[in-house]
Amino acid sequence: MEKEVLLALEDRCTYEEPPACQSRCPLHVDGRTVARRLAEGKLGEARKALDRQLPLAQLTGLLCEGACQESCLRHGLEAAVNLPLLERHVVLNSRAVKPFPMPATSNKVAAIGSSLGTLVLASELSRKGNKVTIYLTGPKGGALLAANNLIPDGVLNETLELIEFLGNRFAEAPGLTPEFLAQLLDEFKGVFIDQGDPTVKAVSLGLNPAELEIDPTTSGSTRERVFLAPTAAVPNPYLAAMVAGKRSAGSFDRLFQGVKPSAAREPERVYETTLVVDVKEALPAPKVVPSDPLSPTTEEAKLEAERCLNCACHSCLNVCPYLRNYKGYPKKYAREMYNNIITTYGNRTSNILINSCLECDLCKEVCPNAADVPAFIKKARDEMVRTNHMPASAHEYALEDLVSANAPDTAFYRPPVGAAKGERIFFPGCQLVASKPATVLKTYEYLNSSIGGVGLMSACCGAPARWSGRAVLTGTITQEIRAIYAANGQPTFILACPSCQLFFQAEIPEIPVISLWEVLAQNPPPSLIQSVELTLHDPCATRYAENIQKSARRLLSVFAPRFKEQKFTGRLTKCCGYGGLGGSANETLGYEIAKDTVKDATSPLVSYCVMCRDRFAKTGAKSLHLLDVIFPTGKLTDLMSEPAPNLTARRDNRQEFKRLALTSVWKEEVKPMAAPKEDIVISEDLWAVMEQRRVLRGDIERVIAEAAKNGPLFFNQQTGHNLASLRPRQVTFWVEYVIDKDGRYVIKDAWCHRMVAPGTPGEGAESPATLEGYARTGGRV
Amino acid sequence: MDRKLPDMDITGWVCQKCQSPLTIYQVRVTYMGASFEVELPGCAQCGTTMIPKILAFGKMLDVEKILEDK
Ligand code: SF4
Ligand code: SF4
Ligand code: SF4
Ligand SMILES: [Zn+2]
Repeated sequence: MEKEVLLALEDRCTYEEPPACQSRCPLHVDGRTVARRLAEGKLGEARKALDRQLPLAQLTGLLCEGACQESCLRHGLEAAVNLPLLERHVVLNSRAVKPFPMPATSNKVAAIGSSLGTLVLASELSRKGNKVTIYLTGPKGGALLAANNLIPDGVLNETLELIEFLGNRFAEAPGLTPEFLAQLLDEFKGVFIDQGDPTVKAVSLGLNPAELEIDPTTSGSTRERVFLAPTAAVPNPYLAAMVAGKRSAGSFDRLFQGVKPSAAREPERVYETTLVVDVKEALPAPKVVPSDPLSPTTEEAKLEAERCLNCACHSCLNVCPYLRNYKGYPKKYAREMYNNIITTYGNRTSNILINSCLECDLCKEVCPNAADVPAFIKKARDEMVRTNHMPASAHEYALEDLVSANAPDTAFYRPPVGAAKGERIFFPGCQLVASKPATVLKTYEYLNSSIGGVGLMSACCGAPARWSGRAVLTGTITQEIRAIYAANGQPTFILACPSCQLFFQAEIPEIPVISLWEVLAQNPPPSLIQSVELTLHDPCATRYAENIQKSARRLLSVFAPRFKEQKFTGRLTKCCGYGGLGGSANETLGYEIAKDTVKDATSPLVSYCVMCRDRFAKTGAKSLHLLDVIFPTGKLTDLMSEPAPNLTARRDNRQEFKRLALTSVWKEEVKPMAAPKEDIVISEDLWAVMEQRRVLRGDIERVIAEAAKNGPLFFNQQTGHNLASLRPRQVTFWVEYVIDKDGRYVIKDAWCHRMVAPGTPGEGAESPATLEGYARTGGRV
Repeated sequence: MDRKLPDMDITGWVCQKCQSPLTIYQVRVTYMGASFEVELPGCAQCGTTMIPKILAFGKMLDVEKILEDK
């Protein structure tokens, strides 16, 4: 993966950008943290956050006029969060950690005047041992002496003492003349003229009006090595003085290092943040009016702090349980995933992060910057497969299932009865066939009777191969579909599954496709109006397929007119947890996602993707597939409560569908499916366990067949249990069983693992069903 | 990698072929191109190894994950 791919995503995700108040504060005070800490009642933490950006906070925190106020997002709602008031409260009620004088360097600076600008400058410079000689032209403190309404008794004196304690010196100025300035420039590395001190007149020092223009970046005059604080006549004079002191300190630091004062000042500028904050859900919070405007009570300050929106971008996190699950945000995840990909030594701890995304695109829809997280993740997956680092466990079962769906005993294509070619081909998709074979057959029969000339193809389109980044397998499967397309004279495919549709459009775009739902909406079958109220769920694969969504609504308004919309619907619909095989790589999270999606529904759900239907059913929610409503195979109230077929039943259903279709429609002879071995007994409880472990009845049958032939591997003399094992493919299965008096195999437990240990029969054997084998032989429909 | 895997109750189990009780010894297992030594129950005579359920869903799964993450 190229670094640019990461940079592009990092650029899009503005999660780490500062809130407006901070970007618009010339000192970049982190108002959000100050407010949050205060709201949490953590005064000390609030002070720390303040001290980080605000020099000499014990004084400056009392004086700031609040340049941030207009930018505050609350400003647009009721009134800005009163950060100046909060700062005052923090400063009045906490103490700074007293700094220690640093050993003096040879870098000496002179300041003329002793108002706020000079004090900030001296405190900043002395942090590195650079000392300031402060020439007094009037009383110590300059304009601050007149601010005694804002500054409580003693604070100014304490601050002046601190400045001296840090190694700075006060001296009397001999009188302000050009010669004095020249002498200082001779003696010191630079001079700071604090015009905020009413007794300082810069013109007397011989500076002409052009030289009094202050450079906003460096606070410098055009006269070299001379820096200025503005007079009190500017807007927000206290803040301006602090900024001048701090910027000038930065300029001196650069001079000491032989660098231009203007070098690398970009981060200090005032700017518009790119952070976008969704304030739609912000609750109204009126401005707090403190009883004493200069000294709010703790309660008043807390209330005001609680008004802060804690500005941040949570748009995608709010809608995606996957993104919330790892406690970070897309920009951070992207970095982790990138490191996971490029790592050569060390563990790839982000595999699960890469594989759990549903690739459902909802985040992209809600992101103010349209950051395409799923596209990034898709690249990461492809790269892992390409470099052989994709863990087998993540997608193995889903891929095996794909291979089985396309195996000869399951997959088939037939042109319409009596015709050599299909003018159209109905492609229901492997999961719909696995879940509702009888309904699919009814649908096919209706299509053929209404529009006619429809062939039937039962197979997996290959979507799981694409989701899991298996390019070779994807290619093999599309080749098979292309062959049928060509052999039939390029018919249109009628697709029931929205995921198939996305897959066709992306991987085999030359094949014309139409959704079953559009076809049915245009050719509605005789309707059986259902009076029950349903909640419509749009499958996430239809996010950008408005025509399919519309058709589903048209159909529902005929068949179940009392349907309602989900809370997240249309372009903003949520995923059921199946998409992108996220739920396959991370079952627990996939289940949480399904629960999150059903939680907003107020009546039984109806989806037009069978994976949604079945996954919703697994959470215990009542749910239907749209075909259940149109071609019901029973009472709707029964259908909505039917459990999702388990993994074994899904495979059986696919085979059964082939037999059913070929015998009933094409009148072919098909030998019935091998009946489940009656001499194998599996309890209800064990079925549930097998489902979790992805052990199928067929797997157990194979192990038992091996044991019947060669005996089990182990026997327990105390319990009488046998333990047999077989490794038919990349998975080893273990079956614990007893043989009852009728000679039946009563299964006690079954489990599997991927690791190979010595002594298991079939060890290392490559069954024809291995994915590589499938891709090599090309599979067959 | 050398790992001791806990909680393996092998009481009563014997190898079907050799009829000898299982013992726990070091075995080399392989996965995704990596291999490592691990203590597993098995038949000391013929070398047939058992992977008990507790391992398949506990530590062994962790070990698989660790190897996958390499
Ligand atoms: S919505 Fe998500 S991806 Fe987009 S900027 Fe916000 S945090 Fe980043
Ligand atoms: S709401 Fe809070 S974080 Fe947002 S701009 Fe205002 S003070 Fe800053
Ligand atoms: S699961 Fe969906 S919403 Fe969440 S990150 Fe992936 S694509 Fe975006
Ligand atoms: Zn033995």
